[in-house]
Amino acid sequence: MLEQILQGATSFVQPVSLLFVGVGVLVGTAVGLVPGLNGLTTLALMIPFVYGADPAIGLSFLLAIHAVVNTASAVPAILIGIPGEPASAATVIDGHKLAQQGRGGEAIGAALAASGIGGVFGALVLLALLPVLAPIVLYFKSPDTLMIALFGISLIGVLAKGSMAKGLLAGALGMLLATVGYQDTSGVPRFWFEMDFLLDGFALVPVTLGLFAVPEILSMGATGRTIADEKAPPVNARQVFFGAAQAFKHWVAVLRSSLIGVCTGVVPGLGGATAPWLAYMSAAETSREKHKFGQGSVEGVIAPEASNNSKEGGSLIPTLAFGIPGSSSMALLIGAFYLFGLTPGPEFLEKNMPTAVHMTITVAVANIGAAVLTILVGAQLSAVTRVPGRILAPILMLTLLLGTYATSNEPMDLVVLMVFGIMGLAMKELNYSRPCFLIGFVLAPMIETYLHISLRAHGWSFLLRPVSLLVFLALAVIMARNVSQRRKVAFQ
Amino acid sequence: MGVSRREFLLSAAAGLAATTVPAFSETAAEFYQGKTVTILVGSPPGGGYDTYARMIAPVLAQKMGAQVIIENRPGGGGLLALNVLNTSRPDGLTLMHASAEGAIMSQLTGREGARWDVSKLNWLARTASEAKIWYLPPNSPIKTIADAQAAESIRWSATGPADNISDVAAVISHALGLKSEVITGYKGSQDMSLAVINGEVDSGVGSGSSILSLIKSGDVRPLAIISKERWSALPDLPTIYESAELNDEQRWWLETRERIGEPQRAMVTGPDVPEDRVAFLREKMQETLTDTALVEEGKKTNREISFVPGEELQSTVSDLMTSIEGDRLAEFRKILLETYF
Repeated sequence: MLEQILQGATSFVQPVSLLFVGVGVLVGTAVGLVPGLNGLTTLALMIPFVYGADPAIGLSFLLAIHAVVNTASAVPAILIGIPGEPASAATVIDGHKLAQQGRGGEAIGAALAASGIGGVFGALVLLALLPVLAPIVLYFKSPDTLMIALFGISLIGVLAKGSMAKGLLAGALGMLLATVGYQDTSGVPRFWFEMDFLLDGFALVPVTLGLFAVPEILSMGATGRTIADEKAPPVNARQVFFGAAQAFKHWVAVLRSSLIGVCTGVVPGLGGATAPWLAYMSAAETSREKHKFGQGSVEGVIAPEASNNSKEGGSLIPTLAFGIPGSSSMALLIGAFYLFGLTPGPEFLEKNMPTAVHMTITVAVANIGAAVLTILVGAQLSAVTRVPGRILAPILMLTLLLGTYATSNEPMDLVVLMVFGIMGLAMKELNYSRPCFLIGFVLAPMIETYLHISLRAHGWSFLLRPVSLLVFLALAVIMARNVSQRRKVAFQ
Repeated sequence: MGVSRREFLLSAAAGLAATTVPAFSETAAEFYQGKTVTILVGSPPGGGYDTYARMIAPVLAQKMGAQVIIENRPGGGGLLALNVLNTSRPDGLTLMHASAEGAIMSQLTGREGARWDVSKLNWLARTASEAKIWYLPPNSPIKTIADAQAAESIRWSATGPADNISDVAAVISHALGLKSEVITGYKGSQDMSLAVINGEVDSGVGSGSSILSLIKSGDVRPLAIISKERWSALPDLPTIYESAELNDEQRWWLETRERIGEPQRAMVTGPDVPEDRVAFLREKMQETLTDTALVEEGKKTNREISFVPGEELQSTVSDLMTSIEGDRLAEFRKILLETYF
């Protein structure tokens, strides 16, 4: 094994390989920075470019882009309240509050450092587990996915503390709208009104961007004001570095969130959008400064960002072990494997361990590279919060429309974007939690499907599986504790 | 004004004629010269249908003297794109790299939203096809088909009804008289095989290439290939016809399902496209898909081409649709969609 690690490391440090990873980091960072541009689309566009390259180098290039898109996408989430990727939606809650308070630089620093550490953590876990990937993947079964999704749903209660009724309503609305389209287990389309584009339901990208980005852009354009308070001191590099130091200060939160990210990545079917919310919840539950969550807490930025990047290491585990895509990006990466004449799975690991090691090192190095790169320019980037809204709003709206359309060439996605934009605006004005909506929207179909599979494959005894039992008990404890000490701290 | 009613009608008729009849003596080859042909793909970039289409497009463009572009229109598991093709302008400029198997199954099972008629679509060429394999966990007590027939219950993993997996499981179960239950909801072929490996279900069906590496690594054990012929990659694996005693009725079910699967990945254009253009497209598809360099490239990149000419595909499809009608169709739907779910 040691020999194979050395081989992988040697192939990684070749100049060509380093060049490709470097370019990958730049591309991924650029895509993450511009709201609306989508990591998935970029990856699909880049696949033809690596065609004919050495598999390890080509795959690492794609992986480098993918691994760091979520690093940079924290920046627009924090500075302008627009998640660059659906996975950064959780970062908006506290990150954007901090930016409005003029602490955007600090938030960026903390987010980027946490992303970097999380990404490296994920890669290290993957490296350590490479020889024993298969048994780990085989351990998780459908009931475990179900229980973790249920655990995620309970987050609605945490995020809705301001007004429990409004939060629950928002969550329920999310669940309701998630029922549009094919029901996974029966294949029966629901609420599709004979419109083909509704068969797959509302796509996550236009929904997330509609809810979070459109209201911000509209109010920015309507008021014409800058994002940061004009009296706030200008952001300088020192603020960004101070923020980065915060991530190291809260190392427990960073490591816990990273671990949550890795686990979410390993469990098949959970998808990338779940991890940051689970991490946010665990941070909000265990923090010593709970009252700050939702009002501009640095920990509220660190937790989702760390898990966001660490989950990539985790989701490579089922990908490499059995060729099971943990997310849509991983599905694309598996497609690239086939183009190189490789089939991810046990045979690949046996014969191409150095390639796997090479890819793992790429994840770690790309994460560090992207974090350092973005931290260095973080102070300059935050100048965007001082651009008058009447100039910034039209530019952002344009990238948003182009990016949304490019995601799947579906003109109706623009209608979805606008409808959810109007809904997001109403929810924002009336204080209905948009994160609650999003959690219900993402997790409800998962719960429906995995409850079906669990009951049919295991019967009710699935509740007695160790992981399920553990998650169930944790859920019960948290709920009981929350009911007993309901606080009146307003979130959002 | 100076235009009489008669003159107006004449010129209107001439105008109409000009739009419906191609310009004088314009051959299909001249029509396509310099035009842009769009190949629709019903899944996002990077999937199997997409990567095949992207490999074929440049060679096809060169042979046709036209631009060939790929447009991804994901939605409804390919249903959206096929509906788009079905209602596209019948000028032969819009094609699709489609799952013929899926198109036929959707129509046979009366899937909601499927608005095409496979017999009216113009099939241009088969690009690829592979048989399906019935597989089990390595430690399964089922060693032979007789064991399976004696088993108390067999659970299968699938994504949904008529997904070209669950219906194969249903047909096997009906033909062999198995006590089966098909569990739907899994996300894709790898997810389904994982459920077999980790013992969540007892049995699975998958395309040869999707589980070959799992067979080689010993994570799953193949029981039979659902095909008349053995597969060169696994020459020792018997076909289902070899390993079970079958009467005519049982054989009908297995053979019919196998025939539906045979056209698999195919190039197709919409209904009502002028015949000469269809003929031209078929000819160019043949030249492209038998191009030695392209076939070689396919072998190297896991995109093996198995070409069947358009005319042959067309008659396979219409024969198939006429062989399952009336009471047979009702029974077919019941077995494939209800009995084992």
